[in-house]
Amino acid sequence: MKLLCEKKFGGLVLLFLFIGADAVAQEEARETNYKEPITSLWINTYGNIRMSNRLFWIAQTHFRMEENDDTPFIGQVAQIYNRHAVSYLFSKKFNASLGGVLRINYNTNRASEQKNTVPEWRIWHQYLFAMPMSRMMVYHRIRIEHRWSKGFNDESDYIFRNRWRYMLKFKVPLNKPKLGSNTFYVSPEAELIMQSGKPVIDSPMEDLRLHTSFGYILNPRITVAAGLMYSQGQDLADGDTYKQKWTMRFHLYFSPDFRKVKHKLPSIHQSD
Amino acid sequence: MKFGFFAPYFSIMAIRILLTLTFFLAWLDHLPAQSTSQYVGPYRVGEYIGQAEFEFSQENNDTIFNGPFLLQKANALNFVSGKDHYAFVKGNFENNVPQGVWHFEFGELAIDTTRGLKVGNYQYELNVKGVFHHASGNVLEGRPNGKWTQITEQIKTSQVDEVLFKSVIDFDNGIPHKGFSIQNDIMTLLGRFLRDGLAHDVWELYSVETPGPRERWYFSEGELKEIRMSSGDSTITLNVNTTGMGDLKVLNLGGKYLEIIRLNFRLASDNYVEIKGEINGLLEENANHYKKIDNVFSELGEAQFMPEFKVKTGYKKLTKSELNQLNSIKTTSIKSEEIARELLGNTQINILKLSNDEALFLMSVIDELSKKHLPLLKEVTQFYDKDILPYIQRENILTKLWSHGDLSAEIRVEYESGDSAVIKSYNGPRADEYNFLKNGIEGVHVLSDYVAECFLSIQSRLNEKLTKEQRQRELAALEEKLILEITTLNHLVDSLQVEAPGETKVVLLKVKESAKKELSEYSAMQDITKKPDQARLLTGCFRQMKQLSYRIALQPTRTNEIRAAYIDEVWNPFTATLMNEEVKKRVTGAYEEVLIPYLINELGDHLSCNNATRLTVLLDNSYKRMLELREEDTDKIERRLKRENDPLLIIRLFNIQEDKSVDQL
Repeated sequence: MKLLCEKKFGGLVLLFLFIGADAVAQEEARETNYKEPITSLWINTYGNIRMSNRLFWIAQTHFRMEENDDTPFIGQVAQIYNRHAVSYLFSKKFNASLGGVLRINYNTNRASEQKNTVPEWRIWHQYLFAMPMSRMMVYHRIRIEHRWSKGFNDESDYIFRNRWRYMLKFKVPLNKPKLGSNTFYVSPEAELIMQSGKPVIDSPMEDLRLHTSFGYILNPRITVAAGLMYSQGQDLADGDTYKQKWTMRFHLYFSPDFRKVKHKLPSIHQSD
Repeated sequence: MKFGFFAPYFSIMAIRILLTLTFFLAWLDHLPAQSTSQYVGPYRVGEYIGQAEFEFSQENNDTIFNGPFLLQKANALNFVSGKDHYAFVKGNFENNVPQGVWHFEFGELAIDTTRGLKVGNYQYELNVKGVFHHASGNVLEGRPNGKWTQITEQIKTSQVDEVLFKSVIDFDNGIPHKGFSIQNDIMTLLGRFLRDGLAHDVWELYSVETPGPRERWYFSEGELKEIRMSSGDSTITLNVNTTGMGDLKVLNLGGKYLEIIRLNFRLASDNYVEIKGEINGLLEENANHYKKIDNVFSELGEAQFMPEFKVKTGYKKLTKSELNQLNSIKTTSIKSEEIARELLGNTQINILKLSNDEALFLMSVIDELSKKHLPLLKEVTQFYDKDILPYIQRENILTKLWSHGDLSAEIRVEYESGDSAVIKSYNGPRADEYNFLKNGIEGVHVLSDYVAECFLSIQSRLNEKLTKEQRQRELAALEEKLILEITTLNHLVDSLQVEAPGETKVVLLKVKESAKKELSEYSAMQDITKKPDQARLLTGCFRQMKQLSYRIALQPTRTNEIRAAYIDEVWNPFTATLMNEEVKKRVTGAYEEVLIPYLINELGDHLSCNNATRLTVLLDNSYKRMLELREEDTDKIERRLKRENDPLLIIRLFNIQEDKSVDQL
């Protein structure tokens, strides 16, 4: 227990700031415990379906797999995401979205006799700032999620948490002066996901994701990308323990516009 | 009562007289009202507008002159500023017919300042100069009656300076009789008429230049027998022979009679003596003065004032055959004259004759015919028109009027060709068929037919020559135009090439090559008759190729324009940027990858005059249609365009017109 306490103390500088010096002085020294990284593979589809000049329907489906004892990356299904939202385009530089998520969590513990899947519900809203900088684009994304999740245990109840996410992302065209059709690009990004809520005792940093992907814009409506992501974050139950993950990510972006031609005018870019 | 016994008788008489008087007054009362009015004021008589004073009555809205008449025209302003046409007419009318003594004055008067100006008694006194004519005499029912005098005077400083004309003629109810005299400033004519107005006895013409009579015309009851003309000491006597002329006909002694006399003398004598006709000159001058008065009377009322000096001359009616021949002579000589005028005035023929001997020869013949033959025909036609021919003996008219030796079909011409003189003969078509031994009107008819045939034949030969020459000149002009067109085409292509991208440059060069090839083929043409048409065709073709070159040079710009038109800006929500998106790719693909390469191929390998217009139109219309298709619903077309590589099918699918051009550049 003492060891545990020491780990907690050493691992969370932020927590130290909040708890105060007197309290810390009374704790025993703690150490961070980094778990061995696991490997996973995400296949994500991102749909932005245009509904009107300023409204989009966001429809995302993510398939997330992770290793098992026998197979790295794709040994077993871990989660399936179904994320939807309505997005409003305020300007070329700012848009906001609001929607819900149904995530199916798969029990990846083979030895467990608990449930195989449990649903997780979220309400999310997002604020995306886009800034052109020289040839590239820089994005600041703030996403706030309100999530209700529970364990695989039959008696497990839903717990509520908030997620506070900030992502800094770049998109740099490689073969063209600007991002456009038939453009290869590289996109480095970093996202810090913090969480809060009653169950969150000493594990506010849920995840830190460092991800770089290479993409190809086929046309304004379809883009494909693939990348590798390293992430680490505190275990909810034990703030001293850090989970690590290497994830191969494959993305398909599509933005269809089913409106008739006459309804496309005037479009956002003409009025801005 | 001294008259007591007669009293009842007187009382009956008085009643009768009273009744008669009453009835007479009643009859007078019922007479149509013929009230006479008087007019004083401005009035116009023919050319004279002046102040008039006359009495008149109205009948059916007509003015009937009745009573004294006076008209005076004098314009002081005209007189002061230059010349005034003065007129004064005074006389009397009876029921609109001139009757009684009449007096006329006409003058052209101006200020004469030779003796200065006299002022006094609040008046300016001006002298006049000019010509003053006055005439007076008696008129009986609109005809001159009694002695009429016409005098024209030259006025200087308001005095008679010279008598220019004077005639004194005695009339009997409009017919001149007894002796008369007509004189002008040079000559005096004295003569006599019978009571019926026919010239009689000797008419003598005196001149101030020669002593004694200058001409004597001997009449016998109107028939001219002899003319004696004196000049210095010599006298020529001309006898008038009217034998065989049949009837005698009364004519006015005027221009026509003089022409008859002249022609008669020409036909009767081998040595023609010109009759000057000075007698006639005097008679005409006299007639003009009478005409002036007659004009005034005609304007005002009813009159026959012109005096008729009558003569008799032989008359032989034209036969039907002569009439036909004369009409034919008239028609053919007019036609011949037209041809002569056209040929002699034709500058192209006149140029042609400088280089062509035959043309020179034929034009010399035309010249000869115009100078010798045509005047005779024209003269006969004029005699016919003036109705002179029936009064002359016509049997020898041709030989007497033709003064150039024996008549024959052969026309000998002398002309200069280069430095040498050429004498050559021309025989008209079917020359043997014409009988030049015939005389009279028939002979003239033969001549006129032959001359007309000569003119027509020469005209035809010259026109043929001219046409050939013209064709050659036209061809030369066409070729000049052709060379100009290809030169400007080459210059145009050269200048367009400077700015053109590589592929366009190659195509433009092909246009030049095609034009050159077409020109080479034209040069190699053996059949010269087809060359003018081909030259015209090629000129048009090269002009078309210029248009085509403009289109070719414009094509890269047009392609870019079409590309820009087929791009939509699309919002990419994942990058938050606007991206260009090509739309209707199958349409643009078909245009850029099939249609334009096809056109370039056609321009490069198959361009000729046959398809230059089609290719120009295709380039224009495909560009136009592409811009139109951008806005049209092309779903169906796009479905059919899938993997379509046939340019002709694409042209049909796009509905590109191949034979109708859009707006010119």
